[in-house]
Amino acid sequence: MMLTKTSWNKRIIILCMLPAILFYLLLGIIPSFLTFIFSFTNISGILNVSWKFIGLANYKEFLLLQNYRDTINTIERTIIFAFAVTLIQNILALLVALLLNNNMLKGRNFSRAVVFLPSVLGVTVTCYVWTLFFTLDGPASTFLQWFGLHSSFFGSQTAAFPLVIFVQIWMSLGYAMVIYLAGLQGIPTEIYESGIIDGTTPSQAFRMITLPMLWPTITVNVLMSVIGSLSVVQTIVLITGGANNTDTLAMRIYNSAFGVGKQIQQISGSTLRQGYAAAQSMVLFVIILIFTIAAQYLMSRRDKQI
Amino acid sequence: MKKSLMKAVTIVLMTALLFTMLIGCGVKDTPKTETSTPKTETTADVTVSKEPVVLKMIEHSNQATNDAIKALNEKFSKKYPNITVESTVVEGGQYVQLMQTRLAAGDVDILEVSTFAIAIPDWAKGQDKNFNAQFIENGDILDITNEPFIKNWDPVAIKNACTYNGKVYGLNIGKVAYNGIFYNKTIFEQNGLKVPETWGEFINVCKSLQSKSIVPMTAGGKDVWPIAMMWSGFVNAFEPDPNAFAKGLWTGERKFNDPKTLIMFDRMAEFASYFEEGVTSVDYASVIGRFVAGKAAMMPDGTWDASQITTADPNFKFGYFAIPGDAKGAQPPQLAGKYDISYGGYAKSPNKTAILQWLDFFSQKENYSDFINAIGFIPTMTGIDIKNDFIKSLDPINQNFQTNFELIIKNPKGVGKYAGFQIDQLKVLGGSIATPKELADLAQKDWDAALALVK
Repeated sequence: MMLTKTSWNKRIIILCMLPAILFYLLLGIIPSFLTFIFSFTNISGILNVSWKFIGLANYKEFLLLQNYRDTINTIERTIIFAFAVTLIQNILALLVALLLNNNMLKGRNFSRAVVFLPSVLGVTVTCYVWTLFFTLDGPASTFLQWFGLHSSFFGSQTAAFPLVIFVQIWMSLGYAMVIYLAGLQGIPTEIYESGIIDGTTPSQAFRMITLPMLWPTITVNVLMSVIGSLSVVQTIVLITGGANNTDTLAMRIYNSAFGVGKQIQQISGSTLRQGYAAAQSMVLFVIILIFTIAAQYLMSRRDKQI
Repeated sequence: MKKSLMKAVTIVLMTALLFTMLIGCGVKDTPKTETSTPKTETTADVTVSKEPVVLKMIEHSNQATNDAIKALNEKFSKKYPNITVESTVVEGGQYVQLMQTRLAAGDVDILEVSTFAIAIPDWAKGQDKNFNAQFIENGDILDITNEPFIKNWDPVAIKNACTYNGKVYGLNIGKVAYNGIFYNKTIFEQNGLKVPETWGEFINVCKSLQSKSIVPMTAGGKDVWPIAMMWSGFVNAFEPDPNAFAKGLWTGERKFNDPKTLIMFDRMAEFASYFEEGVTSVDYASVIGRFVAGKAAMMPDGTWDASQITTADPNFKFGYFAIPGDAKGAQPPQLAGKYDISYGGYAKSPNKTAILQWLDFFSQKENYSDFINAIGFIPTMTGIDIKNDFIKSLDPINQNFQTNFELIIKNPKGVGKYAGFQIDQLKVLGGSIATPKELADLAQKDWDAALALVK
């Protein structure tokens, strides 16, 4: 049977996609499905150790047998972290992108590189730099002392969490800015020129042209921020290890699964409990799903209004 | 013809690409192993491998121990030129993860094991099995019960620190105490201060220092645990029977807010008030530098810091005393602590002969002697020639070494954050709880809630 050119092209396309699909299945879908299955087991994560299905025991332990107040606090912190990072990061990234998209600005490319630099540095370097900055004899402490003030920064139970949020925003602002810049550069200049002829002010141009044309980019950035910030672990591990009221749900999952962090025994009772960690991951997944759907719904509704 | 050739070429290329990518993912370093019929030689005590071997070792980060192990490994490779030891060091909080992944991949030969705190008493219900016990029960850790070098070690240390279900799985590197405080001898001498032997004397020392504008104490407060772990020393100092106290908390005979326990909370709050301002922003990694620089006269911490203090300033004069109780005893306040880590082997390693050679080498008195003098721990081998002045200085307070309360108490699963003696939650240390009584009440409330769920 002779293949037509169209069906041959389709097969080639499928063949070309096959490696990516296989990788996605192997590294994305199958592990996610297995995590769901393992959440009903007492698997430890130690190779060859026998494990069995224990029904809803892991979910019961997390939702009913942990200290209720501490569990609620952790979930609250997770949501506050995601909300603050998403909101502040996107507003700042958009403002910086608008500024750096201005042709009149001198040293535009240099400024873009500077803003993007923290994203290149990586989490470890960034966290180390800020830890040094906020240490007892560091620049931040010296600055506060000029005004007779004092803070323990990452060692403070009240200041540590906002500062971790700040570091996370500082680190990921560059990526968000680049995406906004790409979006801004995709808006045809003719529309702005027409607007100028019609007498639009800069603020009207932003509200009536930039914002509607940029909305799909904003949606992408917001969704990426929500998903990313709900599952942030590295920043917290490296800066505070979850101490001083900075542990989020993702941090707890790491504690249970791998024993990473500074309050391991206190939080999870023991380490290497991957079945229990899987159950917590499922709870986090539900939270991420709810927030993603809510964000997508609100963004698309606004998109239609625009 | 042309089309079918193109199809064939495309399919071959795509298949090749796919295979390359998948195979690339699965490639791992093949460990250098001894051959299936290894060339070995038996000496008086140990079988010796003659094949080239690379032993992979994993350690948690402690500068003094890491340096001492490096020196030991170099000496070992000089004696056995065919064996090289490659060590990977990670921060303490990440060691469990490293151990798990390396064991799963079979990519380790010598590792740190800890068997001393894994027994669960009858009165502690619903406890999870410690991960070390799981590795041992899974057959991952080499059983060295019948190895001849075991007899070189203190049998008590072998029994209490390295034995699980009657079998020996490691060689303990030494004991450490962490119920005490390092003090700057020069500052003490210049101000006419003596090492305190009662709580009252300790407070007088702190007050005297403060009156001369000298900061009494510093600690790595940012990391929380360096201050938080001190509560355990208070129990050892103020409770005559820490075992009965731990059991009593489970049976309800004792409470965190009963009058006897409240005394400890009060003492801890008083203790916390003598730290330098901003102590909770001091990183643990930098605290030794601050102490050696004279920014505070005392530094509560474990004896494991001793060699790092000497490294930071070889001329710095310092001593160590245990947190004192209310009454003066016949002996000065005694040390409480734990057996530190033990070194064991991976049971399924193909380099078993070389692992046993390394453990045998470590067990030789002259090698262990160099090691223990370098790290400044209390030795777990008898008849060691102690050259380390710090270890010698501990002698009077090491006559009745106790297990630190932290290892005796077992928290009920899911217990809240206030349970125990969480002094970091006090306002004086940047927390939100104003008074010791308030913290004790919260501790008992969290403890009761967790106990109710466990029972």
